[in-house]
This record gives sequence, structure tokens and C-alpha cells, in this order.
Amino acid sequence: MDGSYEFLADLRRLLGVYRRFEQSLYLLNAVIIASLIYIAALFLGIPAFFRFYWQDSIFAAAPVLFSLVFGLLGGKILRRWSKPDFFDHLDESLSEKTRAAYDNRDSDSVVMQSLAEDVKRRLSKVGAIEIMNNRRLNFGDRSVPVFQAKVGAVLLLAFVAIFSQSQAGEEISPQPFRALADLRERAKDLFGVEELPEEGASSEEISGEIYGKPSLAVLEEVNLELVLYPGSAAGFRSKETEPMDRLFTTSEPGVGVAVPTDLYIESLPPQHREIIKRYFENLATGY
Amino acid sequence: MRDDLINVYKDAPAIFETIKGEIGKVVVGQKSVVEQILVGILAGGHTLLESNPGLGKTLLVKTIAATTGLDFSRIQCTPDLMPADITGTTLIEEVEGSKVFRFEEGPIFANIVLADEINRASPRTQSAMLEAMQEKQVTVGKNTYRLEEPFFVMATQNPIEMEGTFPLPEAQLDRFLLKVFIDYPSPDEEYEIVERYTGHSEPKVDRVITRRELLSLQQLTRDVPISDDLKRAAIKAVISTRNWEGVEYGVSPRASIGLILASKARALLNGRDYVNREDLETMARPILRHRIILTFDSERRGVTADQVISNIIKSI
Repeated sequence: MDGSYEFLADLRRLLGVYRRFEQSLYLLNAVIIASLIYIAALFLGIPAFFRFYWQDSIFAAAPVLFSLVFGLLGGKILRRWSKPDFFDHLDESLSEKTRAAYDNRDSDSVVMQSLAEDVKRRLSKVGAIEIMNNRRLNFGDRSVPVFQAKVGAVLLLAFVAIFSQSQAGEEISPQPFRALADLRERAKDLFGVEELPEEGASSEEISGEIYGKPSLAVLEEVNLELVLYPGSAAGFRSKETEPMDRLFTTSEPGVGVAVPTDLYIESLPPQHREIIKRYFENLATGY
Repeated sequence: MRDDLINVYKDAPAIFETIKGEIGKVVVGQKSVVEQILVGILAGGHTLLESNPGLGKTLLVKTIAATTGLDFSRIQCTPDLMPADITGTTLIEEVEGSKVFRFEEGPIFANIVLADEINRASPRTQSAMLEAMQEKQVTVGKNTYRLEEPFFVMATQNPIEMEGTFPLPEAQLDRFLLKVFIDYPSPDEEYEIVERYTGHSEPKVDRVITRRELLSLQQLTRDVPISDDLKRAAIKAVISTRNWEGVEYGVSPRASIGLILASKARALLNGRDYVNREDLETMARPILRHRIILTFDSERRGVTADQVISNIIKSI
């Protein structure tokens, strides 16, 4: 910045403020993009997948790291694409004045001196707040400072990410499954069904990990749809896994065990009985 | 010299207000027309005024000349007007018994030249003004005579569709910095005109600016800062005319110079020490309209140069 006009010192000061502001916007953009990517990954079950297979390794944190890297890259692209200009951060008349004064800083005319004095007087009153408030996002007739809008977006996305994460980490107690195991034993006794052959290899390999969201949680709803959220509840450990292993792994596909309805209903937790009953009634009527 | 400039610069807003006030004594309304003519004077360019007869073109130019106190001459253009009637001629005189040639200056040797109804003059006579307008000099025989600064030609013309007129050639039109249209006054303005000019006395104007002050203002006009962005926008607008749909021939680089100078003059006239976008947009029409030649198809469809310029301005 050559030239000897005093307004150039104010311009230098504001340029420093502006660069810090641009840096903050860049970081906010990066955080917003990273959060969006991470939230999308949560819904796709990617973080759970990584935690499931690489729980003790740094790869478990790979989705977070990838989101951050892509966020930073996206922030850079946005900055290049928006082509920010310092003069646009001043109010309209001051922006035009300052541009003209800066572009003619090597001129020594009477008019230029008058302009330089005026620009100096006005720039000395401009601070960081004015620089931040002059860049605005328009929503119809209303507008909000870009900085505030982006901080708001970051807070909102952080809340969504934390909420999604906490939902995904919900632990399931094996208690709801115990009733089914007991029911199976009682059914075997009742109908004299022999123990199905064990598939040793598969039972040995079962580690007690349960992958998927339990259907019981869904059955509590009035809506009887069975929904499996892929990966969104994976990664927890069941403390008592043995009965569960057998229940899910030793039955051959297509080999069902008939259970009298009343017996089955009785075995259910009282609060779920009515809804599960309705579920089977609906199934029977071809609903 | 610099002190003079500083003083004139400080007084400029008052000077302009006084000039406008004096002109307002004679000319009712037409504020934008007056502004554009003053822009032409500050930028040191020639102005072409066009309107139907009876709208006060000649009166306006005479009034402006009267406020400046500059040498003023009027040429009433007719089909039989000869070039020498404008530039002057060499006479043989007898001085102390011997015969000598003496150059008799024509009406072009004035600070403000009103070429009234210029499109009634023959093309030969019109082109005689070319050198004077561009070079600010006149060549008669082997001698070249400089014209005194400031020098402006203010030409008036009736619309070319009217009978007995010769359209100005493109080369001469390009010498005019501005082409200003004068429109009919509003009913209230017309009432005021009737009131003023049907009484016993007609309004008179005073000289409110000296030649020296005017020259200083012209120098200050050139010093008005303009940002590089606006310079580029002006050039882009000018270049756009060369390949714009419906335009046969675009404008020359002289228009870029004119547009920036006129914008600076408008800024100074409005008491601003920098050029803004509004100056550029306002001056684009009077600067470019007479330099654009539309295609036959555009003219057939009733497209005007002003419409083309407005579209160009919107696009930059």
C-alpha cells in the first residue's frame, strides 16, 4: 500500500480486521460443511461401522477426520468462489469513496486531497463490528449479518450431530430378549421338540455383539411397522449374550417352532402385550 | 495556481448553484437538460441538442453563455451557408500604400459557438466545423489559427425526419461529447413559461462565473478520482456496443474517454469528490446514443439507441 495519505493507515488497520473476519468465516464454513458431512455419515451408519470394526484403532475416528478434511477443503472452495473484496464490507457510499481514493492514492490533486481527508474521517469511525455487520444474507425483505447466521448454523448443526450421536449410542439391555428365550424353552417342553443340531462354528464365532436397532423399541409405537436402522445403534456390548446367541443363530431358516398364542402373549412384558397382539392379528388378516 | 484551484474547488458548489439559479430565471424546468449541458462545459466537450421546434434550445444555450460571460457567437445554419462563413476568410487590405492579406475571423472564433439548426447546413459546411471541434484550430489557406480555450460548440437540431435537413455524418456526430434530448414541459412548467413570457419584461441573467474560474473547474473535473472498477465498467459498456445484438456499428474509444470525463464532471457538479456508479449510468445515454448505429432490423422493430444502452448498462 504505497502513497502518503493518512487514510491508508486506517485502511491497513481495517484490512487486518477484515482478514481475521474472513479467516473466521472460512473456519465457520469449514465447521458447517464438516458437520453436514458427519451428520450424513451418522445417518448412513458409517461412524458405527468404523467403531465396530476398528474400535481400538485410530480408524474408529476416521469419519470425524474425513469430515474435517472435507470441511476445510469445502471452506477453501467457498472462499475462492465467493471472491471476497474488502471494500464490499464498508457501507455503499464509503465503499465507492474508499475504492476511488485507494485507486488514486498516487495522485496529488486538490480533489484527491479532499477525498482522502473525507475517507480518513469516515474510516476512523469504522470498527470490527461494522465490517462484520455489512456482509449480510438476504431472506426476502429481511437480512442477517453473515457472521451471526453462520454461528447460528454451527450451533444448530452441533446440536443435531450430538443428538444423533447420543441416539446411536443407546445401550440395549438383554432383558427384553430373555422372555423370548424362556418362551422357546417352554415351547420345546410343550411339544417335545428335540434340540436342534448346534452349528458349532457359528456359535463359537458369536461374540455377543448385537448389530441393529431392537425391534421392541419400535413395537412400543402405535405404528406397527418394523424398521431397522442400519448401524444406528450398533457398537454396544451385551453383558449376557449366551441365550441370545442360541436364539438367533441355531435355528435353521424355515424351521419354525409353533407357539400357542396365549402362551406367547403371556410371556411378553404386560405393557407390550396389547400392541404385539394387534400386530399378529393384523398379520393374520393380511394387513 | 494551486491556491486558485483550492479556492475554486471550495466555491464550486456555490458557483454551480448560482449558475443553475440564473438559468432557472429564464429556462423553466429542464433540470436534467441543464445538468447535461453543464457537464459538457465542465468536460470541455461539444453538445448536440435535439428537440422539436419551439422548446427553447437556442434560448437555453444563449442563457448558459450569458451566465459564463464568455465570448459567444451564433451561427444560424441554412442550406446556403458556406464554410468560410464559419471559419473566416482572408481579405486584401491596403495598409500604408501597400496591399496586405488580413485574416478576418469567422464566428467560430468564440468561446461558445451556437450552431443553430446545424442539420440545415449542407454537409460541406457541417464538415468545416470538424477540425475546429476536434483540434480546436482552424486552417485557412496555409495558415492555422488556434481557437481560444475554453471552446465549445453547442449545436441544436430538429429531428432528422423533418423536411429540409441533412443528417450529420457519423464522423461529425462522434465529435459531440453529448447528445441531449429536450422534451416537452409539463403542464405546470408550461403555465410558468406563459406567465414569464407574456408580461412586459423578460427575465435577464447575470454573469456569475469568470473565464478563469471555468478553466479551473475544467481542470478540477479531470482530477476527480474514479475507481479502477468503474473505469473498467465504462470500458466494458463501450466495448459491449460493438457486438450487441441489433447494433450495426458500436462506438469508438472516444466514447470511453467521453463517458469517464462526463461522469467526473457530473460528480463535481453534484458536489462529490469521487465518481460513483450512478454518474456512469446517468451519463451513458447522452454520451453513447448518437454514436450507436442500429441495424435496419432494429430500426424496423422500433428499437432505440437508448433502449440498447439501458440493456447494456443493466448487463455490466
